Amino acid sequence: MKKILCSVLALVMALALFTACRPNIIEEQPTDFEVNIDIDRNTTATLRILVPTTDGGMEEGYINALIPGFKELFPNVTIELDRRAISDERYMETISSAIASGEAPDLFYTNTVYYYYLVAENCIVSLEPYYTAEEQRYNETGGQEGLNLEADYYSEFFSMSEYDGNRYVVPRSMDSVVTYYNTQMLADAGINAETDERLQSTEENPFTWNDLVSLCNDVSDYLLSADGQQKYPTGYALQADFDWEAVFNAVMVSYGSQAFDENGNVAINSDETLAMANMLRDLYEDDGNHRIVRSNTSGASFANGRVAFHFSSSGPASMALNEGIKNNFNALPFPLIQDESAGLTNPAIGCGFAGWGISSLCDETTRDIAWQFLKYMISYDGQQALINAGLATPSIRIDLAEGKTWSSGYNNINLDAWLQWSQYKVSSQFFTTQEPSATFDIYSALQNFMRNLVDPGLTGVSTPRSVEMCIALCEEDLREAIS
Amino acid sequence: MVTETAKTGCGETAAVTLPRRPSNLKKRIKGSITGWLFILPTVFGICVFTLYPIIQSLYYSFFDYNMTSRFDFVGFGNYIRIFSGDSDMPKVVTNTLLFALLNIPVTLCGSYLLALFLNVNLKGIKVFRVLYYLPCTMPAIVSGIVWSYIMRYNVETPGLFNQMFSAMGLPMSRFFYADNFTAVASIVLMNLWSLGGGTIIWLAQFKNIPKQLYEAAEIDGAGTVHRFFAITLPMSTPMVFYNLITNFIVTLQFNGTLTFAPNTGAGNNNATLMFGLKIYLEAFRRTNMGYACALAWVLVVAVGLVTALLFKTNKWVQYDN
Repeated sequence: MKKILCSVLALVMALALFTACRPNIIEEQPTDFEVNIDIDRNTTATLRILVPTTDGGMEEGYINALIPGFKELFPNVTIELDRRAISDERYMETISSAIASGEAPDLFYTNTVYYYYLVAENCIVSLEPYYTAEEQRYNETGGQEGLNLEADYYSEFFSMSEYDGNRYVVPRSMDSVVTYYNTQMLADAGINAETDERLQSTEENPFTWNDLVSLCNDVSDYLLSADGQQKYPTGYALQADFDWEAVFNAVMVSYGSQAFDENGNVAINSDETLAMANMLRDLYEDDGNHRIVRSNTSGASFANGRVAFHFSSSGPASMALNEGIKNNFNALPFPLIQDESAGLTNPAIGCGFAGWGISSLCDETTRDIAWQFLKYMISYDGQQALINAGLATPSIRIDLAEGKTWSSGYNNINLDAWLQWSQYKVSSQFFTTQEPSATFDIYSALQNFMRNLVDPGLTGVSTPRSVEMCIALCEEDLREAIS
Repeated sequence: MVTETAKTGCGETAAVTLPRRPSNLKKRIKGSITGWLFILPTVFGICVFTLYPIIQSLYYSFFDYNMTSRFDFVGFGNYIRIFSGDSDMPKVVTNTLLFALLNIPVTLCGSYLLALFLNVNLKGIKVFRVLYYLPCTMPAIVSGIVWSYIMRYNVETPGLFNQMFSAMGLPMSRFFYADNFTAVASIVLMNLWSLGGGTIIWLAQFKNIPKQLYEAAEIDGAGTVHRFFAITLPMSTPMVFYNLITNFIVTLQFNGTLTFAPNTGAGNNNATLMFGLKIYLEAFRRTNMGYACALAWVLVVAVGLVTALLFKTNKWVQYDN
């Protein structure tokens, strides 16, 4: 009996070793391959699309909105949703588990921070062959077919996923940080949003960081007055979300501060970072009551109406769903940080994308079908379907974005806030010189840095650390992240 | 047919021919086929869900495997890195040992004392038994979230404990948010919440102690304290030993901070980063699966060594009555 048992165990061990020899690994993908953009309408295929389960069904809703139109083009293609938990903490876990288990989707959901991991780990294919083929077709047909990103789209958002000269992701919309303001609170504070010079944004008189700080000081004075205390006992001036990369990256870029230098060495400890950190800490300490700036990771947008200013990329339709601020908001672009006397000449506005890349595990037919789906997503009909499904950020198409159809019903809101100063828009690139597995640790280090500066309560310290100490801690965290 | 020699009634030996007996193996298989079928699902489960992953993890521990694009043989590279190249490890080992040194005595003694209290014959004691056990029915993730609220440190909206401290004029504590020893101590404090689970085991052990021993001791004039030290405690030692080993293993594997401590459970300044969490973070947060497997095997060896040591020194355990 013992012999039998031993034999069974030995067999299992041998099998285990045999099957464990080589897990599912994605080899480096060629960036130049044959593509077919003339897919037979009757092609039968199944397309699995990754959608997050952690966004309240938002992305799933968008994909569902695209399916009917796409099915008209390819009636025999079945779309399956691959629902997975996606967050900054769990993105790598989700993707790597999907690949290791051999259950990878055909289209990976990604954004400005996540894409680098997908590209560096060979998870998604370069879309250059498709862009080239589509552009060629566009030229051949005089614009009747194919794509011309430069002519019809905000091409800079396509370039945000560029790596080694190749673009990997098709963005579904244009995400740009704007400054929302609470018209009711400003009126209560005696600030007339219609006439106050600081609340204007024109070529000649841009909305600047100094304007914002000045307004915040006025709001803070009001909040500390008897009236303010009565009406907004826990109110504050600015919900900045400085721990959001679209915000802190823009501020860092404006100040010339960088996490890593071009050689990939930690470079956070610099005069530029010190100047930026001092500015942010001043915001926190300015009135001694910490009523000016607050970071927020709770996701409570606009702190339910308890703040005067709020950085966000949500469209007005989304903001209007917030009962605390409904009917009492307007928008300005992200404030330009520029001050020639202080050497600040490179203002930046945080922006990014959410979109999908094609899995490198797809067979050729599925890959071509996946491209057709992405192409439909950015077509006029596809973008219109997304807008109808509630996508309230500007369309990636110039015609729809400038036509403001993405926010019809909110024409009293300054919709130019999303489109103005496109030359200053920057996406986060601070992790691309490092190993992809370090991406989220780097992100976390910078988030903690910002929280330490502007919201020490969140990090649990009773006495805020000095600015120099915050920088030193961040430097240590960054070194650890890339070690 | 087989030929065997047999003794005749007169004491002579004679060759006799007997029908062939079924082989020993076949007979045993035939006789035990029902038993085999009964254990088949379990054996299958153990092979697929335990044995296979164990072997696979050992195999992966010799590779630089990131679950997506890299699977390179590194020999003992991962093991060398654990002992010489990972700057987290001193902190991980310190935190884990500190937690074990605090948590094991506190939970063992705490649950034992609680069990003694719940073992007395008082009216309504069963209600208390249920009440103390009740927290164990709550999923760990829920209790983790509840405790993160109870111990929340925030100037504007402090948690229950810090509100109590404030009311008493005491300074607030950072609990899990602390970047020092306080963070680990907070976890030990939190673990008191589930003392009721261990209490049930002690109570079962107490019920197994023969009543005659107490009766005889009473007749001999032994008081309550004397009876405890002479009967209850010695008779509990097998369960003390069992709980000691299981607590030790569970404590070394602890990764519960994931649900409530900041920085993905590692705490500020890695104050709550322990071995179990380190394995999780390496495997899934950093997708260093090969390295995580090596860490797991180091933990297995460490647990094995300590368990062996405990077994070698178990002369204090009283197994018979």
